[in-house]
Amino acid sequence: MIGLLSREQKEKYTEFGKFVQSNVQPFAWEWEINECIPREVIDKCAEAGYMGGILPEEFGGQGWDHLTYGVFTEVVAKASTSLSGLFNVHTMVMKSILKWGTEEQKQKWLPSMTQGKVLGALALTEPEAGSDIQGITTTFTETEDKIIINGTKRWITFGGLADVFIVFGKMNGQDEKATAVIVEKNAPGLNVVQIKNMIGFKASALAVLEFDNCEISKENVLAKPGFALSHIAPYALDYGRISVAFTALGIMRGCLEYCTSHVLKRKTFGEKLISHSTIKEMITKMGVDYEAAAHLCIHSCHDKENHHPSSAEKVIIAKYFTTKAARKHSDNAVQILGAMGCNESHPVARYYRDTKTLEIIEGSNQIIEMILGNSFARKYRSSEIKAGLGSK
Amino acid sequence: MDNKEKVRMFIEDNLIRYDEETIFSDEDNIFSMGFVNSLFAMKLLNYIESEFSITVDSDELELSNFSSVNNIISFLNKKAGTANNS
Ligand SMILES: Cc1cc2nc3c(=O)[nH]c(=O)nc-3n(C[C@H](O)[C@H](O)[C@H](O)COP(=O)(O)OP(=O)(O)OC[C@H]3O[C@@H](n4cnc5c(N)ncnc54)[C@H](O)[C@@H]3O)c2cc1C
Repeated sequence: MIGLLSREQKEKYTEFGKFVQSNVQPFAWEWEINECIPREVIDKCAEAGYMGGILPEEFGGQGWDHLTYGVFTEVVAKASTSLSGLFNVHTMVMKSILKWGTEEQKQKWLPSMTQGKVLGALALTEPEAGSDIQGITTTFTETEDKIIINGTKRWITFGGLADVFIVFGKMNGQDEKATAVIVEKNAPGLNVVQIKNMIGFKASALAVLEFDNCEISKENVLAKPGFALSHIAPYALDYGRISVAFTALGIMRGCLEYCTSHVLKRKTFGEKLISHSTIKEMITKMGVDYEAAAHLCIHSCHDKENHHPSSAEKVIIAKYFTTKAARKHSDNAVQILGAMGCNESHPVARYYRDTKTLEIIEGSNQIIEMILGNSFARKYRSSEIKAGLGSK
Repeated sequence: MDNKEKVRMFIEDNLIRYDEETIFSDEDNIFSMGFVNSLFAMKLLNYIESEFSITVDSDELELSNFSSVNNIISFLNKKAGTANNS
């Protein structure tokens, strides 16, 4: 991975590593047990300029390219998937406001978000609608100068800590008027209930948001009604998938580091574990998949940087491959570490739990198979036909 | 290749139908025919912005601007006219 980065990106990699080693790594286990990340940690991230890394400097960001953001996520996730979840949702919200917001909305929210004074979360999923997002039933009802929200959102990452939410629903209940709005946590009629006992992202303060005649100003509508599910959500989720792909990459990196240290020290039957062929095979597959996943992740960031129309597909491929590989190798990592890997205090135990959720979030891997299966079938068949090789 | 051919080709490459007989006219609404997946709308916007070096503003988001080959071409011509007039 590191060999594929530019000089500036390598320097950032080292800087992020140092930050994480002193501010994240030693405490990540405690956050998991308490199921929350203390506010002081987020303040430290803000002081270091990390809350708005990928945002332009004019809004207080650092102007990172996509790959630098990815590398940052990899380094954070190796130590704490839960903390990487914060950057994921906060970035999705900032990027959505930057892309679709009015000048007033950008000025109102972005500077305070890049400074980490205001935290964002994205509320799409509902108790009756997850993968099938067209099925959301949250309604926005227009009055003269207000929007009244009714409905429930569930599994909202950092919902328990966020100050502002992008909430998806349907204007006046009309299917063709899917809309996104910006809601502040203290809006009258919004009740936030924290969710406990997740198997992964344990410290990511997941929450249920209950909207009971919740009132917001009409100025908080993000872009025009009708485009929330076709444009705003896919745009946000594209960033979410970059985060998830690099989170999985960080986990694989962690698996490799912990496993290689262990197999070079631990002896069984008079030999170091690395001498056993089945262990070598597991380490080989882990290393090869890490390298392959890194290439896919980096390639997708380059395409995104260059506004390539197929970048969304490249990001999906990276998310799919990397999360599946991380799932498999976290399982092997627990195997290689034996009983030590079965204890919650060891990071590979956390990797084992977290990787299951990575296969479900930001478009589950089954939904990705629906998209990519169709797309590949068409793409490769048609190139065969174009080349005059197709059989009818 | 003219703009219309470019746009048609982009859409054809992104259809989710495998049968070679899938045909659509320049007037057909590609979204309502169910020929495209959930990523397509964003991909199309990305394509239009990068291929024709324009930015589609939030207030230009109108389904009618993007729903058919002819509508996309009219939108591009309108944008070019606005750019030339400014
Ligand atoms: C840790 C975590 C954090 C999350 N954070 C957020 C957040 O910040 N904001 C937010 O809005 N949501 C969030 N979610 C919710 C997440 O986006 C949904 O869980 C996800 O979209 C899947 O929806 P679901 O859980 O309702 O499963 P369902 O949609 O009910 O699907 C159940 C299972 O069926 C499979 N499936 C569904 N349809 C098909 C099909 N057609 N063919 C084959 N298989 C299918 C799915 O892949 C899945 O395995 C989070 C979830 C988790 C676990």
